[in-house]
Amino acid sequence: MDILKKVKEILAEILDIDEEEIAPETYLIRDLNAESIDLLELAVALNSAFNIKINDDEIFLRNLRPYLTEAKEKQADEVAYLLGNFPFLTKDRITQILGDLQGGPVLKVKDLVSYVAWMGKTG
Amino acid sequence: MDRRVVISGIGLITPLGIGVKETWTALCEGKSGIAGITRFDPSDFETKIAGEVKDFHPEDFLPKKEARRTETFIAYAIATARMAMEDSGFEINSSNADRVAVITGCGLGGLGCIEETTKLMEKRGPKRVSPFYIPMLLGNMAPGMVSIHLGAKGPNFSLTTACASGTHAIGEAFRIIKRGDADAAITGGVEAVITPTCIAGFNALKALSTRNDDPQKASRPFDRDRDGFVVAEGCGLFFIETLESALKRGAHIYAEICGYGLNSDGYHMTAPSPEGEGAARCMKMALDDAGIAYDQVDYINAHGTSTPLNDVYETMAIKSVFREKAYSIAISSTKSMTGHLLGAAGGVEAAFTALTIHDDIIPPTINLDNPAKECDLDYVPHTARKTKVEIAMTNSFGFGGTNATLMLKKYHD
Repeated sequence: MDILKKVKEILAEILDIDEEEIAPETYLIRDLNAESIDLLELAVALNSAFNIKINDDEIFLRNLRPYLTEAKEKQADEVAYLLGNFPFLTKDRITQILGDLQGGPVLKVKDLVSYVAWMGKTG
Repeated sequence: MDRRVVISGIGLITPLGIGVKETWTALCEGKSGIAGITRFDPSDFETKIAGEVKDFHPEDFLPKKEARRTETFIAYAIATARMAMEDSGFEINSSNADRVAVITGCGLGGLGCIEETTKLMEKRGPKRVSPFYIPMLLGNMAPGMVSIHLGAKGPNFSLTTACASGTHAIGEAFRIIKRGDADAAITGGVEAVITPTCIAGFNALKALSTRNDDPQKASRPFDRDRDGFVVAEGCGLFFIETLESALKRGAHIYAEICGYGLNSDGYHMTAPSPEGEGAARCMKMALDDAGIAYDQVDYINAHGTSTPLNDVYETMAIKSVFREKAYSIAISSTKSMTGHLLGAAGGVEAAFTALTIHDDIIPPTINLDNPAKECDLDYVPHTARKTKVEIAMTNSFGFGGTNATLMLKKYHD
């Protein structure tokens, strides 16, 4: 299954927007104005579409900033620490996120795709 | 504080049409809104007919994204409230918002959503349940969403008294304004439960008509051959306000609400008390509350469900309250045309009663071909009647033995 295509379809339906507005690099919250209740609905829809059981906190990168604080307290490497908590993201993506924290919520469409693909592999 | 309360806006969604004009015209022409069930496949059901609302598009009243997340009864309430507000010409703004109440009645809430979600969860597990499930099934999400959309920030609740819900809601809103907790209210009843378990449940109670081969003849209150009620759906809402407020803004007044009765049979889960004893006390209470003598009433919009028991007992109750006058009061059951809108019935029937007073036209009881021998009053059979109506009553009785009656009258200075 083309995961990106399906994710775009679901997002378009839930947020009532055109699929053309959605690309892998699109921010869910910054660009598409997704609200918390939209994300809840999105999780249910992704569960249903891909027959998986999503962990909401993981897929939506919910505790990203607390993890960073923890990493600092433990004097751990930030990238490695985040990678441990968000194993579906690549090292490159985490580095990108770390450079993007000032701009607001970092969640992008491609992160959802990574999560679904990772769930598919790990079962 | 003696505050008079008037009706200055009406909104209707019924099996006879979307809007007041559509519904009221069809009603006065004696048309039936009953047809075969399309909401689900009724093949296995004893009853295969209902009063469904046709051609309702929630997107006409709500943003598309929200329409998808809104259960039908809530969408009906928002749409109907918009109609009533538009009709009233009242503008809710920051200076009056907390003085506008939204009080609605609803018998069953989001039953359809409960059925669908239960099936989904059994099949695919709890992780598939929508975050909108709970907000979609709560009865009070109807007045809640109305207040969110229209900005009404006064008292806000939904009450549940089965088929009397709409009438109780209007009565309570009337009281809330009378006692000064608000100056205006959007109020009435809403229901949308043409669903498999609803039909099966009422069938199990033997409460529904099974005249599947002739749907338009199925709801026949007071007729010898009646065999139960027909489930219907929709919404009827008023915009009501103090007379002072209506006069100040030069509002069009349909009628005045002048009395409210409410009580209980204390008798049986589903059957009315013998000879309509509870209903009679309720009507008497409403008359007393209005300070109106029994011989002043021109019209009664009956509960008139088309069930064997209700129609006989309601007739007996009317006779006991109105004595010799009972035979000369015009009575009709608009359920003969709309079917039984359950929790919305009181809302739409109060609207019909207000329109009767406003237009001096009494809608008929259709299908009354052979009145049952115990039903010997003037039920305005078959065709509407043009006649002056000063004072009218509307009745609603619900399972659990709960009763509600409203008194409406023509507005005079």
